Amino acid sequence: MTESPSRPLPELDDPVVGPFWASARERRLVFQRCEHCGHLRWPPEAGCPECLTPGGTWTEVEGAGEVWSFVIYDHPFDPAFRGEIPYNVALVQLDAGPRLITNIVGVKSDELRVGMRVVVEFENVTPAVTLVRFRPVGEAYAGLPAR
Amino acid sequence: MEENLLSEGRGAAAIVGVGTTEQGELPGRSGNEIAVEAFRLALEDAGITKHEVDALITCRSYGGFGIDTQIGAMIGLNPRFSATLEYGTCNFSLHLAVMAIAAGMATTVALTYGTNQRTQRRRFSAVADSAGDLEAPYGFVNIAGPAAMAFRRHQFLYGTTEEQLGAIPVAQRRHAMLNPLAIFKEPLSLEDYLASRYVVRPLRRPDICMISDGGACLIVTDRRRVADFRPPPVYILGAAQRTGLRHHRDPDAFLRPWIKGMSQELFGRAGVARADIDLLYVQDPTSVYVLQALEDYAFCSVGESGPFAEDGRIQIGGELPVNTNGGQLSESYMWGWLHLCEATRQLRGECGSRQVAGARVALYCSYMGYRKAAASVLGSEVP
Repeated sequence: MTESPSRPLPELDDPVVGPFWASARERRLVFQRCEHCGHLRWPPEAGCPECLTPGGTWTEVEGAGEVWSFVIYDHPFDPAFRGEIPYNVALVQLDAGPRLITNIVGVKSDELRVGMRVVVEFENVTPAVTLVRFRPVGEAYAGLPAR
Repeated sequence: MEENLLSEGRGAAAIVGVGTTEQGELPGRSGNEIAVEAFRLALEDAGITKHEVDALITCRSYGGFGIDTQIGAMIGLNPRFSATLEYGTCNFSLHLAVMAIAAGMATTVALTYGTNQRTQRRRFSAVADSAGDLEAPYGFVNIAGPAAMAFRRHQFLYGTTEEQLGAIPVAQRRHAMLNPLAIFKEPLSLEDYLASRYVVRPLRRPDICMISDGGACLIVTDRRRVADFRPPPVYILGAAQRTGLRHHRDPDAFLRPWIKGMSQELFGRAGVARADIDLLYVQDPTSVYVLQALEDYAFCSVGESGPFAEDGRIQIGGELPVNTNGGQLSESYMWGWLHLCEATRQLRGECGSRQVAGARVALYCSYMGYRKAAASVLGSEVP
């Protein structure tokens, strides 16, 4: 994908979310783990949404999961994406638990499948920002194509 | 005993006035001015003056307008009670009105909504599901994104087809063609649907509503007062809400698993069976919400909404007419307010060529994205 400088970008300085993007810059996929109940949370929060214990420890996880569903944008609702259509957006269910809205790279639109196994791929989109995207792994998914 | 408790609120309030302005593009007027026009029309329909209104519930419109303090000043009232809901898709506003009446805090409530978001060229390009900068950098914008994702998942799980989804905009367009208020009245066949362009695959242009200007107002009163109003009352027989505020902290958020059990609670409180529902209204920013509502409210089994939507079943004359006004897809995008106005008019028998003969009970379902749901059962009499 060619990135436009005017596209929406993450807030790198945000005290709660910032560490996620800083780690992505270092090619590490991290989530906050609760020191009390062990819950791995996403989206980031200042405290654990399960047991309400404040804080949490950023913990690296393996970036493997599967495509829960995906869509292809043919219309740029946000003009910043005009140069990128058609582009895909997917919801990836990580084996580690969290579910991420993301893009799948290294695959044609018509080869995307629900249930496809994917692995994290870090992509620098500006000199400061690295997005967390995914790429299909292994053999082509043998399951049902989305009709 | 439980039945008594449940039935106490049944039909405690009724809709006794509706007002709808012209829809589409209304340049030269603010959204608040349009809301005031809808209020004037609703008073006229109700056969009362503004002084008989003692509570005001307004719906915030796009851009931060429509606040009760603004509307109250424009209509020159000091109501006993006033409030503004951020996401006032009208079920949520209606439920607040019923609660205010049941609590004795209000007798007759005006509910208003007005917007000129089309004239203002509001783009709705903001984030798809209010997760801010975690999703927008990936291009996940507009409500069509999550809906398309939900539909693709439904296709994967149950084999639902694009033709089955298309049956919804096609049915609603047929209804809009009979509705003088509707914006889109050109015929739309299934072939036309399949030939139309994709916007967010697998959704096409007719699956997604168009931003429009317009206003709507409802007058709701205590059941003991209904004789003071001109039209026949339409009772709110039951109401229920659910939330999925944990969103993606739970699996399958776009399939709204948290909604299970809601329809049983709702129908129990309303004193109706599902088979009693003559009309179904679903607030429809996209056709996918209608498909999902058919399962959420158990008109069919989970996974069966695709086949259910076909064969004219949801058209006027079919087994379960859905969105007889044309819905947001073809009538106008009014955050669900016009569905409630239409349901009221149908239950009064005022809908002319699109009137569903003998309609006595309607169900109106609305969603706030994939995080909240609200539904009301309306009836021309209290069972």
